[in-house]
Amino acid sequence: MKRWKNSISLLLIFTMVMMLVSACGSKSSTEEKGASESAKTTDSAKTGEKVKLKVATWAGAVELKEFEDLISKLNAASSEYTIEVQSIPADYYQKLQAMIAGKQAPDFMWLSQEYVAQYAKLGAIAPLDQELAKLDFKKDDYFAGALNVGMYKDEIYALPWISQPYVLYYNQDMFEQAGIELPNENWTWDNFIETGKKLTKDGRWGGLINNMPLPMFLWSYGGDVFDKDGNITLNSADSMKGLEMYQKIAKSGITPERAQADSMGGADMFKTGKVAMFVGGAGDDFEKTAKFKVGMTLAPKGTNTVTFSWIGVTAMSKTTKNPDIAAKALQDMTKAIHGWKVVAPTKSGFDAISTIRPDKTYAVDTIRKASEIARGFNNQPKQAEIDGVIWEKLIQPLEQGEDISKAVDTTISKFNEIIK
Amino acid sequence: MRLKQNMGYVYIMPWILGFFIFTVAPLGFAFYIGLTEWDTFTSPTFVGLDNYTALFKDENFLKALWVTIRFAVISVPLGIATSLLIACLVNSKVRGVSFFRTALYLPAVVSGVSISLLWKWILDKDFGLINLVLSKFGIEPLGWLSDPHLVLPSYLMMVVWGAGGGMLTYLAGLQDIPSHLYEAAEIDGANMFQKFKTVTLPMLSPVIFYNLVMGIVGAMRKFSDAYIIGGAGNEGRFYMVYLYENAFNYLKMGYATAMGWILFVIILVLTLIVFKFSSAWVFYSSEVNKKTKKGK
Repeated sequence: MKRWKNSISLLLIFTMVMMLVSACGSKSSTEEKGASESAKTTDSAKTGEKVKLKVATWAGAVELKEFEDLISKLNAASSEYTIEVQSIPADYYQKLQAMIAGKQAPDFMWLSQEYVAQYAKLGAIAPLDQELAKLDFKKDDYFAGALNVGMYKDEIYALPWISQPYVLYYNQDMFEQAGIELPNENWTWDNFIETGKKLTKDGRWGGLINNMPLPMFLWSYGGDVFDKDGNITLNSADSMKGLEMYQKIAKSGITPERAQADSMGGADMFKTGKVAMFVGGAGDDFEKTAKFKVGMTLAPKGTNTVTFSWIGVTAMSKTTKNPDIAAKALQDMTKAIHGWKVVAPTKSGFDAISTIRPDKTYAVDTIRKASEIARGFNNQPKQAEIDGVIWEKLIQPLEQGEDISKAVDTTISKFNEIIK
Repeated sequence: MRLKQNMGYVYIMPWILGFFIFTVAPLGFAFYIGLTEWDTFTSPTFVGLDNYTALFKDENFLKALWVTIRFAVISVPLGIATSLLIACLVNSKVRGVSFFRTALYLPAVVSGVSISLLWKWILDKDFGLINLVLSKFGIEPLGWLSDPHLVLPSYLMMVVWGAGGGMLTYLAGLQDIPSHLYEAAEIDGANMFQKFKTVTLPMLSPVIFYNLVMGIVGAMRKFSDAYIIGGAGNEGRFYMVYLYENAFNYLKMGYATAMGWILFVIILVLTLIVFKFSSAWVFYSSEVNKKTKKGK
């Protein structure tokens, strides 16, 4: 019996030692596997085998299905690469960051413009100029504002696949019933307030601004939060004019309370006829969903004609094993998306609007003009923190009617703490 | 004998290894990360105690700490009292008590995210259930989550609503109280309140003690509902939410880890205080029995 027990014990010890040895050895075998895969990938181009690439996307449900179909067509047409779609519909950036930190970054990743500078500075994504120079990349085909958000320190790090310039949507029925002239391309923010006051009645509001990024008002008067070189320009005379206008609109009484607009959703308030004017992305689906006649024109201006654009980009991981073929795949994939998503950030992809979204045909000229004047933020590597400060120290005090100069000083002092 | 002892270690080795690999090692790593500046993409840079000193100058950190402590101070006793009250009610022998027990316990089995989304709707200023009811009495809609003064009461409402989850342990404790104690109290002429004060509470004190400790830990670590629901004026930004923001939105993992250690120390100190004073109010009948036997 005792011998039997000892044998079991020895067997247990042996098993555990083997487990430990195999665990310790796993790193080297993984490294070997990684090295052999890397060599295999590099060789694959020579041997004619397709390079395997992965793209991370936040797309889910219908959008994901459409994207997968698009990628299947690309894969079928290419003899050089096969792209696999990695869908991360929830907590996208958290999971992406964990993958990058764990050295498991996908070859391509969809990014919102705010992340480009940060990922580029931290070396998570690769500069593309060198690879793009070897391809038939037409830089001039992109609208300048869209391409700029994919750049960091004068190098291209990401290719835009969508650019939704903000335009002014209006409820034409409400205007006509009130006998008020329709908005036009030359409208200023003062016109917006003036007309908004006439339309604010019977539980309805003239306009909404809670969904618009604050810098858009600064740009309207030639100012900005940061300039292209990353210097703080929030307290320039032009920026101050933009902030004054923002506060003027917020206090004019033509907009619902922020909390109400946030809880109901700005777009839904417009769609349900509670708000007469809404500045939103040119690709929004009001024409399909609203039960009134929707009109569109350029967003109001200050002294400058400019608008914000929500821009999505695809970046290439710095750890991709075959950058030449990956860059080619990135360019093909981006071009293909331009024929799928509205609004394309390129001049050549622009004409597809009428085909993809016939409901937008009436506004193609307006969207084109908006795309030409649209831009993104001068994003900083610590943009997420900066945005947090803008919300807490600038937007909220401005909306509560506090002194603008005081709010600006506090904001700048916080900025300095972040970017020091 | 020696071999037997060694074999004991071999048998528990899987657990010991798991403990070292998945608990001790990450703790050591976290302690080191708390002393570094780390964005997770690049290598950590050692900064000594900078994260800790910066935290105490960070107004958002102090605000989040205040919001959390204030919530804990009110919600823990409130939760205990409500759970105890519910337990006493469903401990009575009335018709349909099983239904009430099940219904009141239901919040504990629903996912936290679903509950948060449900409450976000209930508390909505324009479409919320509470404001709809209030409007029937002519009360203007209240910004439960948009008015900074109403954010804490909103979270406390959620605590009361979920108190049925804590009822279970009290109910088990109540059913464990020997009926002869109540009979003796009745013979002595005790009324209902006196019976509750002199029999129920002392006999339930170990359960209350357990729920107090767990309640403090839970309140200090509040995250999922606060992350989903939020609240105006940073009143809904609890400690763990701010920690998460630093770690995953701002990529300040060293700073967030330092926050984690500070929270650990706070919870440890609070727990030790509760333990220290427990001898004054927690009554263990088993200990009394032992003493009685020794006395004999």
